[in-house]
Amino acid sequence: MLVVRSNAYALPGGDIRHAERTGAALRGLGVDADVVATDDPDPRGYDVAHVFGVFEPERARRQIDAIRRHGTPLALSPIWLDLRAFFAIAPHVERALASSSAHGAERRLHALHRIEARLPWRGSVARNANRRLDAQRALMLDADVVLPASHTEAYLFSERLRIHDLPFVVAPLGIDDDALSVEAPAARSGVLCAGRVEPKKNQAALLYALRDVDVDVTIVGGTFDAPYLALCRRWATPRTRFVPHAPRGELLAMMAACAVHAHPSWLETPGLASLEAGAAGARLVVGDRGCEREYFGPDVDYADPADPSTIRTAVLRALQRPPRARGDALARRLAAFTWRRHGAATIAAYRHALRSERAAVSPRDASRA
Amino acid sequence: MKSLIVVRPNAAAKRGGDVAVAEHTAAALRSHGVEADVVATLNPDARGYDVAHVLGIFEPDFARPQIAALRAQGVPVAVSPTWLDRTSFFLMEPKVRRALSERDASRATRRVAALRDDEDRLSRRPGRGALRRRDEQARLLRACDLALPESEIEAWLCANVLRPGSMPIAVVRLGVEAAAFAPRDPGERAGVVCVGRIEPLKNQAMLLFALRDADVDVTLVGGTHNAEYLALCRRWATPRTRFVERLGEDEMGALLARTAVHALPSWGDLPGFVSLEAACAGARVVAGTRGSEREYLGPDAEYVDPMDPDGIRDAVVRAIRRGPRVRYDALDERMRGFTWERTAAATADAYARAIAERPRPS
Repeated sequence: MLVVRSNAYALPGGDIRHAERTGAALRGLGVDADVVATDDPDPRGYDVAHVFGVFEPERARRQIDAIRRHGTPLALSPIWLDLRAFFAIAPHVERALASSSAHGAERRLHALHRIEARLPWRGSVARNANRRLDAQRALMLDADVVLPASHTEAYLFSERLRIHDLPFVVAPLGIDDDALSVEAPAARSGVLCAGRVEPKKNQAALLYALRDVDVDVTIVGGTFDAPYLALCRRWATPRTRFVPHAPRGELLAMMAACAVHAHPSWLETPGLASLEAGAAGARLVVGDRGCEREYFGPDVDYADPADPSTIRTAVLRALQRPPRARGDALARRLAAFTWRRHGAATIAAYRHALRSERAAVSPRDASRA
Repeated sequence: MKSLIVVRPNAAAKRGGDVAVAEHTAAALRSHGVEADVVATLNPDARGYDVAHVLGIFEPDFARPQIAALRAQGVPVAVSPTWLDRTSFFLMEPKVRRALSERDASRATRRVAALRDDEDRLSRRPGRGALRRRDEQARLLRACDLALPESEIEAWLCANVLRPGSMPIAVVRLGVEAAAFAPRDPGERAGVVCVGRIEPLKNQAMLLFALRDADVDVTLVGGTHNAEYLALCRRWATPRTRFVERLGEDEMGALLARTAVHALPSWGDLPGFVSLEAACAGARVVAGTRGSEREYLGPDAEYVDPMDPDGIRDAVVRAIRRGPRVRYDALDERMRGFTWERTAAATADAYARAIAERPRPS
């Protein structure tokens, strides 16, 4: 039983695609797999329950407690990266970008970079973030096996969450077949950024960085954050286009037609849009603080999400490179990321969960009993 | 293509994993059709080479003159950083060592537990010396054309802590010698072994402290340059602890072939050849979590925090209880994926990139 959040279909996101593709891959490998969108799953009749995401800790707690009540072995894809740097720095970047002039924004960004490493980690933001980390840690400790999407994520479980002895199986995400087979036009142009418009995705910094670059920029994605969208519009030019929604086929066509897909996000694991744009032949610019490097290696350009000058440099460098050749190093690299491979890793993880010493009753349940 | 691989000048006197990596890489590159020479010097002469490859920025006093000399000669410079952020190690390890010097085990346990609770707070204030050293390592990394970390974890740490900007980073995983998989004596396995130089980074004193009450033979294999640390290890040794300073290759193979568990709860390995070799030899493996061990050993080993004696004891006991591994199990298959041929192919690809992307003098 693959468990996603109850509002999955009202608010679709990468986590839902992750679960659906995992379910399909499992079925392709001979596992009966159902995806359910609920905060109160009933795993009776299933050999293993698999929860996707601890990014909403309270919701994940309800899901995991429900599963644990039945003693069903629990696998967990945390979809987790440490957001503390985002919480600490992104508001400063946004305030800088809200300056009345580019000159003012530059001054404030410059000041921020001088003090970034020494920014105090205290106050309500720090307390809330630390509480959230504690809750996420407790959720992971309740699992019989975790499935990070990268070695980096697995490393950070021990380094940042102090979780050392929890069984894990790294399950890299896959790329949909339609992204690999999309027809590309003869000539590519412009910069595309696909993804929900939100601070974590950092579109405002992208638009600020490209405000005086002679290039068309298309931002595709809806938003639940009107002030952030306004900040993005603040740095839009006549050559900037906002597309709130594009059907899948149209989006893939845009990826296949753009010269560069730029997604200088604060943290991604590793960003399905970047994977698909890379598969569709675009050059890529991605953030350098998540696990993007593990997926894209040395074949894309990286930018610091906190530093628009590095975003600008990376996009310009990507635009100056010749168009990618079919079967180039990036294409070969991305070809390894298949949902089938993800499914096989997931089955390996389920085996760990099934032979877990604590699968039958968790310590929490034992103490309740 | 011709590559000059540069290691520290004291490589012959003080061998280590970095020197083994250089030698294995060079041998594999030659088999792959790349001419490769290894030199141990502060002042390498790269004339006639297409690319130079520096092994390690972990000791800036060595890497600084090496990289400067190569830069002056205009040859593309690749670097295997062989780097982990040791801030926490430098800060916490001396405190842990002092705690383990306590008169009785219960006091040592209490002090270590208090240090664990305090680590996050203490780590936020690294010493000026540690920061200076890290800044210097960052400058050294940026002075090269290409970084070749040995794992995704090392790549992430280099990118996020040292911030080398737009420098390309290509992960080149290490290989395991085919000989490590030699057929094993099917005899009974027993005991815990820890192979490695006896030193604070390898954390043998904590291992012995953790296992002081465990009903198991423990063998530490390795020399030391640190008599004080060896004395601390002996402080927690039991009548069932054995110290072996040196073993020949065959003896080592034979020992690992009859070992139940190899335990190296170090402060961070990259990823620790001995753990890989023990895994190849069929032992169960307990490794630390602060380096790239997880990436190599995967889900079929036990992982421990170097500051957690209870966790170390539990992991070793769990590993012993699991019983002997079977040949061609998941860990065995995983180890067989790490070959020096793959290392050489990835290194040669990376060299080609460094050569192609190096701006030519106008």
